[in-house]
Amino acid sequence: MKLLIIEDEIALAESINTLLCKEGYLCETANSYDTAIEKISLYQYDIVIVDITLPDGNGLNLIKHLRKKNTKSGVIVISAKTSVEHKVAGLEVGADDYLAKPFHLSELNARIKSLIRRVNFDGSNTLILNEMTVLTDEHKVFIHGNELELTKREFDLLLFFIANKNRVITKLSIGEHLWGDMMDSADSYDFVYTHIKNLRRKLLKAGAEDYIKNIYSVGYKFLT
Amino acid sequence: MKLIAKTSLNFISTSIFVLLIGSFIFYLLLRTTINDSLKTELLSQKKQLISKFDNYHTKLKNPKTEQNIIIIKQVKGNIIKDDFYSDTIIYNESARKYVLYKQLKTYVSVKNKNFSIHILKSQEFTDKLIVKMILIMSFLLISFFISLYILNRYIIQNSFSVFYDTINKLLKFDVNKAAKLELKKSDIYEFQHLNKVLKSMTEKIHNDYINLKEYTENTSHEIQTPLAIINNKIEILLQSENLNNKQLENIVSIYEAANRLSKLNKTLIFLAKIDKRQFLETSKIELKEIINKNLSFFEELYELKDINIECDYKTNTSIDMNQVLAETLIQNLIKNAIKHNFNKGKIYITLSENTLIVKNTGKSPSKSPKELFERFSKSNSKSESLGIGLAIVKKICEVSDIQVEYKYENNLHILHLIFKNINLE
Repeated sequence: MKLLIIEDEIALAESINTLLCKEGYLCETANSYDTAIEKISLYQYDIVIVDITLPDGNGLNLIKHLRKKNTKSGVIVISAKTSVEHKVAGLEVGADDYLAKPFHLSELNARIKSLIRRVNFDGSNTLILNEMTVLTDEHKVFIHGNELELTKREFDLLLFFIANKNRVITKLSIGEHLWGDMMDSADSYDFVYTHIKNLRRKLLKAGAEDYIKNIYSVGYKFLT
Repeated sequence: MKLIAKTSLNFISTSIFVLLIGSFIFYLLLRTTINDSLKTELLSQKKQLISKFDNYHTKLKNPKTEQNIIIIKQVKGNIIKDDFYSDTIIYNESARKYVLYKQLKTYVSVKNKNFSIHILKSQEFTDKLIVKMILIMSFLLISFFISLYILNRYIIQNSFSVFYDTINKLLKFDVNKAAKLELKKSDIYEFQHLNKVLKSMTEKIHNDYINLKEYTENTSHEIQTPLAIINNKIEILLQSENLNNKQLENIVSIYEAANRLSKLNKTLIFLAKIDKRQFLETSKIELKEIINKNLSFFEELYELKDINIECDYKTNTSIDMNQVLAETLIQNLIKNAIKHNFNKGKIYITLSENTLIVKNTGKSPSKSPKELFERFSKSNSKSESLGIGLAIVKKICEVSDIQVEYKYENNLHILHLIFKNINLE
């Protein structure tokens, strides 16, 4: 799996790079519009992460360029522009997802995973994790072959955990993943806690291993 | 007091004062002049009389007309050869009234006989003359003052119309709007100058404001990237295996602070966008639908706090409003009612023809309603809450033609929204 990160802020590009390398992807970074154009023209990438505002050009043009060349790559826009119009503009030129800065790496990770599923497996949406089978499109989970009833949010939570398996996930990023921007962190903590408690109980009851580990004051880790 | 009232009042009081004093002096002068002329007349009559006295005195004839009465009497004893003037009143039989006379009393001795002579002259006509003259004078003066007053008023009103126009336009001046201040032209130097100064001042204020806003907006956007770096680096740091609890706590504190900052920043960008009127497009919004949608969105949260929500939809009111703003408004109202509520508290939502009332139980407010609506006012010590929710509500209502009021009654926080943007289709 080959990914390209187009981001002029070197520190940010590095963080994303660290995350993706740990996830086992092959990563390249481009810090300017020109290098990005060059890389896009020369190589084939599965996923391209693009910052819209680059010092020497507009990321939207890069997406257009990419779409002219092939339609296979998945494109995720990361931008400081948060408004709906910007999102629409990004999606119109052919981006698959739009993530506003600042974002949680776990969120970016989950979005990349979801995009990879959509781009690469062409409709195949089955995640298998030991005794667990997750059908992402049908929102179904099977443990040892038996279906497990989960609410929509519990399912989202599980998918988020699986996407970020073996990484520390903060309570805040979980809250924001489930709720979006609308929830203030203090309120979402109790809420996240309740949901995780319920999900864990259901998983254990269905005979799954106890994957969800509590990390002191930070959040959780889905250990496999 | 208006300038015109002030000048008019001064003008009128001065006019009355001048009119009274002037009339009085005029009367006195007139009186003395006429008295003098009466005396001269009496004196000349006396001389005439004395020169013809020989012919008269023996007959002791008293020539008498309405205007003139001459009484000649023979007197005994010594006489003083002097003239005495005095006023006297005589009853006029024919006219049946008292008439004021000027009298000259003098003595003459002719052929060793002494005579007293009284010459009386009626003042009736002169009095009438004086009254008429004063009347005419007063009439002239009053009409003069009135015309001056009207003229004065007209001039002030006319020249001040520019001034009042300027004030009205300044009152309506909105630094947010792009429209420049268009002021009436005046032929008066002071107003020309004033308008010129105002124009350049408002233009400067407007430009400064726009610059400042752009600067704030750009800064807000620029802040997002460093915040992203902080957040992501911390997330990577948190992946380290060998952190102790104290270190973890510290890192999480930084992380949460950075997140609060980014949320605050996003809200500021949102408020700036409303200010810049970026949400102008309106559509038909069904309030009931939007409320239900948001209630189900927050369902887990209020269930967690065990809050009981009672909805009463009397009508299905539709309004003309921007979709994003309407969603944000309802979201904030509901979120606020949940957030500032007790566990096992209550929320009442009532929607009727043009009003939406959201009531919720909760701690009594420590601040006045006005302060609650200010940006970043925190009603209690929850440090996580930005206290910006109500500021957003207020701002949205302001731009969407909705009247919003806050009350605290019977231990309930009450937000009362009156819609003036009802869709009547």
